[in-house]
Amino acid sequence: MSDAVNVYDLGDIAMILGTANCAPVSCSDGHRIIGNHLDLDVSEILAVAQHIPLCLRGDAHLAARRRIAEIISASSTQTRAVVEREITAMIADLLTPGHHDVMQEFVTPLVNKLIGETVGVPLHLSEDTLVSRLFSHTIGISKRKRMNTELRELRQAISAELPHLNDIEVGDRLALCILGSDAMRGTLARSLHTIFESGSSAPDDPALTETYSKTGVPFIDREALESVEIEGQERKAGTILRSRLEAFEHSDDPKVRNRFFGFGIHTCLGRTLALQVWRQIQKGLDEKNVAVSVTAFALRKDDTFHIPETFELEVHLA
Amino acid sequence: MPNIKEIVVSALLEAAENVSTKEALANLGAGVDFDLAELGLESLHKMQIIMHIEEVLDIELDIDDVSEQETLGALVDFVTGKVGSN
Repeated sequence: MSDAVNVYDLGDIAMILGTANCAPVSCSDGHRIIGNHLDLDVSEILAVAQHIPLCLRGDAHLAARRRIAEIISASSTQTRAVVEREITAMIADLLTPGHHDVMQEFVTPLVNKLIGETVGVPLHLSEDTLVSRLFSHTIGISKRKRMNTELRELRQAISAELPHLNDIEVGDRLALCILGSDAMRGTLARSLHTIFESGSSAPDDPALTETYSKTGVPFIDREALESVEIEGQERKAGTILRSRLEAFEHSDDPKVRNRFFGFGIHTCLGRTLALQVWRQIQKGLDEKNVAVSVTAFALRKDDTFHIPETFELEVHLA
Repeated sequence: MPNIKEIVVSALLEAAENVSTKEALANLGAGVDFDLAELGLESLHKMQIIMHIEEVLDIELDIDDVSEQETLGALVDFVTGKVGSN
């Protein structure tokens, strides 16, 4: 994918994601080729890829998207309850005076709770979970093996917890874990980081607080099925167009910024839940309003997600 | 501490033996520092090398990190650093 064409123009990104002439790109071909070449068991990776809408085309894409939307919709009352019940208390804990690991204490447990409630299975994905690395083109062999094992264990856990589900329903729930984990953790953590960098948990700057300011999903790839004009240049059919969703981060308009959740039939299915989460977090941050300083922050080395590996905070009484 | 250079050379030889020129293989066998591009390896060969090194040394490597190492010496130094950080 190194020969992908980066697209930063907001109008072109909207066009690419909104047209049927640009199709999703497989997330499993690389795993399959490497698995065959090295006689590696990547069966779980290949199986779950058949449930991930953004890796599927045509009717398969629409069907997977519809099934996953139904799971999210069916659990919306429960997830909303988690948002209202848990977040204020979790924020209050995070903002007690002292040193805090934001990923370990807040972001990862919250995302586990939300996705767990959505799929109907308690989730305990660790800080270094590999489930979302399925989209990576650069991870080595050990991590692929570990990912395959992690996916198998997660699939078995879903089957054990929800024995009435068929294979397709289990696969869809597994796909939701993959889609939600790093995307949500990255978006949440990076947006919290921009707030805490201001020195306060409740900065007086709507550009930081009204909605997410950063995304954990910096780009999305599409293949041009026909020749297409991008940023004034003709791109031939077969070109991989890399829409840099992170380009929306620079807008002061929250409505524009929220477009990093995608467009039309490619809008992130977790968008509504993510926005509920942000509103609840803001309530919690406003209530506490303490002085904070970010003592350590570093993004994980990752070719697909922007997600902190380290995010530590010192909280002081204001 | 295992002999990292020996392990890296062995991994490269295994992947390169049927694709590289005699001269490049001789350089590799002699353990001299040379440009790894001379081996003419493709991405799947690199995966084979990564798997070999990961298994022998029980470490995790990423493809882009390994691809960035242009010479044998650089690759050995990189792998040594990975072993040291584990």
